[in-house]
This record gives sequence, C-alpha cells and structure tokens, in this order.
Amino acid sequence: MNRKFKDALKQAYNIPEPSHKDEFLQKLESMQPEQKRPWLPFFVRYAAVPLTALAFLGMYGSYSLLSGVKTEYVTERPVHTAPLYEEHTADEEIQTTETSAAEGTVPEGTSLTSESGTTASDSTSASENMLDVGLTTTAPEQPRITTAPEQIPEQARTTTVPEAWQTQTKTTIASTTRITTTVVTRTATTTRAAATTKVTTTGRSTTPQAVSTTRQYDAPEPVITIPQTTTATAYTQTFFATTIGNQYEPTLPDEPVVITTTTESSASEDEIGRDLTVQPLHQYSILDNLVEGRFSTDYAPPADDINGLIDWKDLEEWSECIVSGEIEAVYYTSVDGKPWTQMDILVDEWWKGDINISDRISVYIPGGFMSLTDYISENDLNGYYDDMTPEEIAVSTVYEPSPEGFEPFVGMRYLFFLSSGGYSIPDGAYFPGSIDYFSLYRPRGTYYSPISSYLDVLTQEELAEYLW
Amino acid sequence: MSIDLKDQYDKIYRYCYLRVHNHAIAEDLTQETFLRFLEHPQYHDQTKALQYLYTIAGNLCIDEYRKKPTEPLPEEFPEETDYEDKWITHIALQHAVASLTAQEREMVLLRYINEVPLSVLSQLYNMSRFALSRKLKKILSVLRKEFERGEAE
Repeated sequence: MNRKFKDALKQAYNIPEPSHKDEFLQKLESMQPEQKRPWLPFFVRYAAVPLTALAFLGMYGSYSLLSGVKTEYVTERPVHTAPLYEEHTADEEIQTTETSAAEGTVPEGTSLTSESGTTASDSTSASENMLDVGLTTTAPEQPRITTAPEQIPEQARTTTVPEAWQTQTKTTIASTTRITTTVVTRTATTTRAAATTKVTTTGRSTTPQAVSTTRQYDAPEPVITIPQTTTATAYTQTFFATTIGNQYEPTLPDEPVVITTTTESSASEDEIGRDLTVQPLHQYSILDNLVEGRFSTDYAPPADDINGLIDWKDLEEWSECIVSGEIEAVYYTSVDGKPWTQMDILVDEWWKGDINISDRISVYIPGGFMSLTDYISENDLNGYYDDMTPEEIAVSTVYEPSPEGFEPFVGMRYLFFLSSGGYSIPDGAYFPGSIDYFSLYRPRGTYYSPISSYLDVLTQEELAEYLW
Repeated sequence: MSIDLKDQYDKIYRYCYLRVHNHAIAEDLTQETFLRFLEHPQYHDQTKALQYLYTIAGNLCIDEYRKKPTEPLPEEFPEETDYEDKWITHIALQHAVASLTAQEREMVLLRYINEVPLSVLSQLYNMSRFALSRKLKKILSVLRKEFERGEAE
C-alpha cells in the first residue's frame, strides 16, 4: 500500500481530529504519581533469602555437632600424568607387544592367542613370535596357570610395548599370581580403516604383595576426507497430512496420508555446502546499561504492494528463496543507523531459490542492539539523551525490539520466506519479506506456525500444495 | 508498557468515532479507555497491551449503545457529505468505504489506518490470521480499484 492510497483511505473515513488530546494527556501525566515502594515489603523480600539460608546452615551445623558426623571434602582433583593416546598416521604399521622370555622358562600348557583384523599383515608374525611368552592364557576352558615368582625369569616379568604407542604395561608379580594377557593387533592398511589396538593386561594376585597395573589405549580414529563421489541432487521429503478443510487447527491428523514429493535441486556437487554468509558491517555487544530506542520498529515492507500480500501464491511468487534451517549464529549490527540483527542460517530444507541444502546464508531482521554512541551520532539525536552523562552513554546499549517481538536464538529452526535487495543490508544477505505477513514460521511437529501466533498453522500438506 | 499512549490516543479515538459517530462521545470514550487501562496494571502486559486497549474501547462503545435511548428519525435527512466544504479527492473511494459492512469498515480502519498488527486483530475478531488476511485482501482490492478509477478520472 503506497502512501497516497493510505492518505486517500484515511480521508475517505472522514473522521475529525480529536480536540482534547493534549489537555487529556497532560492531565494523565500529572495524575500518575511516582510510585514509592513501602520499605517493609522491600526489606522482607530481600532479607528473607539470606536469613533463610543462615537458618538452614545453622540447623545443619547443629546436627553435625550433635551427631558427630565429620565431613571430608575432596579438595584436589586426581591428576593423570599418562597421555591418553598418541597421534598416529593412518598408514602406519602398528606393532603392539613384544615380550621376550628366556628359553626353557615357558611352563607347559601356556599359550598365547592373537586376534588380528582382516587387514592385518605383519601382526601375524608378531603374534607367532610371541608364542614364547610364558604368561598368557586366553582360552577359558584351559586350566588356570599358577606360576611361582621364582619360576618366571626377569625378562618375562616386564611386558614392553613399542614407543610409538606409548603403551605402558607393567606387571610386577609376586607370590601366586594369575595373569591373563590378550593382545589384539590390527594394522591399518587403507586410509579409511580405523586402526585400533587394544592391549589389556589384567592380573589378580592372591597375596597383597602382587601389584598389577593395567592401561588401555585406543588409537585415535584417523580423520579422512572422502571426496563426494555420488551425485546428491535428489531430495526426498515425506509429508504427513490429512484433509482438514479450511480450518487451521493445530492438531495432528488421525489417519495420516503419506505424500512423497521429490524435487531435484539444480545444484552441482561443488555448489553444495557453500558459505554464503556475509560479514556484518558493525558488530555490537550488549553493554552494561540498556536503554530503549527512540524509534518504533515499524517494519515497512520493501515492496510497495506488500501490505496487500496475503495470498500464498503471492507470497511464494514474491519470495526469492523459501528455505528452512537452523540459526547457527546471531550478530547484533546496524543498518542505516538503526539496530538490526544478523542470523546465519544453515539450510536444511529447500523449496525455492538459488540456495541449496547445506548452504549457509545470512538473514537480516530489524531490531536488536547497538551502542548508544553510534545510535546518537548516526541518527542525529543530540539532546535526546541529555539525562545521561557522556560516561553513561559510552557504556550504554540501545535496544529496539523486532516486530512481533521476535528474538532469534542459536539452535532454533525456522521456515523462511526470503528476499534480497532493498534497505542497506550487505550484498548477499536476505531478509524475511514481512514478519507480520507470515514470513517466519516455526516448525512444530507436522505443521508450521507463524511466530507469535498460535492461531494459524500451515500444515505440511498445505506447504506442499502451495509451494510445489 | 511498550505502547506509546500519545500515538494510541488518535487511533483509539478513530476506532471509537467509527463506532459511535459522535465526536464528543468518541473523545469521552477514548479518555475513559485510557483511564481504565492505566487503572489496572494487569493490562500492561507488553505483548497484549494493544489488544487490551482495543477491547476496553470496544466494550465501552457497546455500553454506549446500550445507554443511548432510541431516537425518532428526523423527517429530513441531511446530505451525507458536504463535498463543497471538504476537499475530498476520492469520492469513489469514499463511496466504496461506505458500501462496506460495519465490520469490514472497522477492519480496514484498524489494519490500514491504525496499523494494528494482524496478530492483535485476529484476537479481537476471533478469526484465524489467514482468514483475516484473505478477507482484508479482498476488501483492499475493491477499494484499490475504486481508488485507481478515481485517479484516472
């Protein structure tokens, strides 16, 4: 609606101007006395909390004294000095355990089992070498081995692991000890395979002198960048919908009908996951003192005829892009001296426009926070904040609410009807056409509802009907 | 309280005038609306202040209808509008507005002159925003047609 039409409409109603407005408003101001809070409720409100806390602490202290309960507090966290894991390259051949024992010291009935992955190569020979180890029994059905400490040579008492793994396995055996050692070796031969080696040594002694230390290390999963080899051009969405006539009740359909709709994005492989976000011209943080802005955030829509834009078809035609996505970042910035908010969105559904799924875009909405100093200088508001000292102004942030009180938060998901151009927002950024005209929707289960309204909902069926 | 009473005074006055068609009564009702609004702090909810304001005004207008005694019709009807006194450029548009129903006239006034958000209007009229939007768009297209016709002439 343009200004001329609006003026003509106003004139057509032929309503006279009020004659006692100023007089009434002056009286109204004088009638409003400054509200003084009575001191007693103020005192009671703020003193009650610490008094209650003190009373509770006193009761607890009395109980502790009477019952003789002594509370021990842990004042230090345990410190782990050993590294949890070491970095390895993906193609590295991994040898895990080498244990040598003197000939003739292996007791009868002792064996070693080595489990190797399907890609293991050299580890088989390593495990064969380890047949000399005289301390390992893995088959549960085999009899337990009891080895007297004097029967075990010094070399066999210590199990060492190559330095590459920084594995520290130390077993000190005393008296009668049962020790089970399982060595699992897997060698990573391809870039995609995960190299995992587990060395477990468990020991349980029957006497208190036996000491067994067990540490387990897992090789880190190698980070592999796999190029996209398949063409991800088709996106399938399944909608649950039912016929509910012209009523927009936010109820789930009783018997959902599955409508499957498939669309093909025109994006090629390298266009998926583009970063289309823009850098905000200014970025403000919220300072200590918050003051209200002097301008109302009347959100004049960019298109001249947007006020008449209600029909879905019009909205769809007007919107350059229709996507839904999650807010990844929120920046408070300014456009033409007024506070605006930039939201960076990760697109996860696409209906229209030159945006693809997984792209990141920036959406601007009016309202937000900016420094009061910039606000005054850019809007020529000298004199408006005379009640504040320059020091106060320097630490003040001005706030202008967005239309409909919309406040974006990171992690929230919306359906956006977006347009670009108009205003002075950075090139490449988008903004919702008009918040008042259902350009922002919140997904709620199987339907979408416009922000700040729970009366109207847009079901997935309607969305499919209107937008496909 | 987020609304500016000075801004709202004119808007509430227009709303009351449209319903009672009397300048003095409309102004009284407007002032009464603000007094009642300020008397009750529970109305100062940031999100619903505007809705409360229009609801109070609407209820006062209804009370005014009830108070008003039935008057006999005058024998001679005055002419609806004196076009010589008032410079009205869009007579066709005025006729189009006059041809709307009372509720439609009220809706157009609130939405396009008083700039009441659709969310508040939908609460006031207990209608879905979609239904309200479609209705307003339909009315607006008729008015726009008349306006453009007047412009062409």
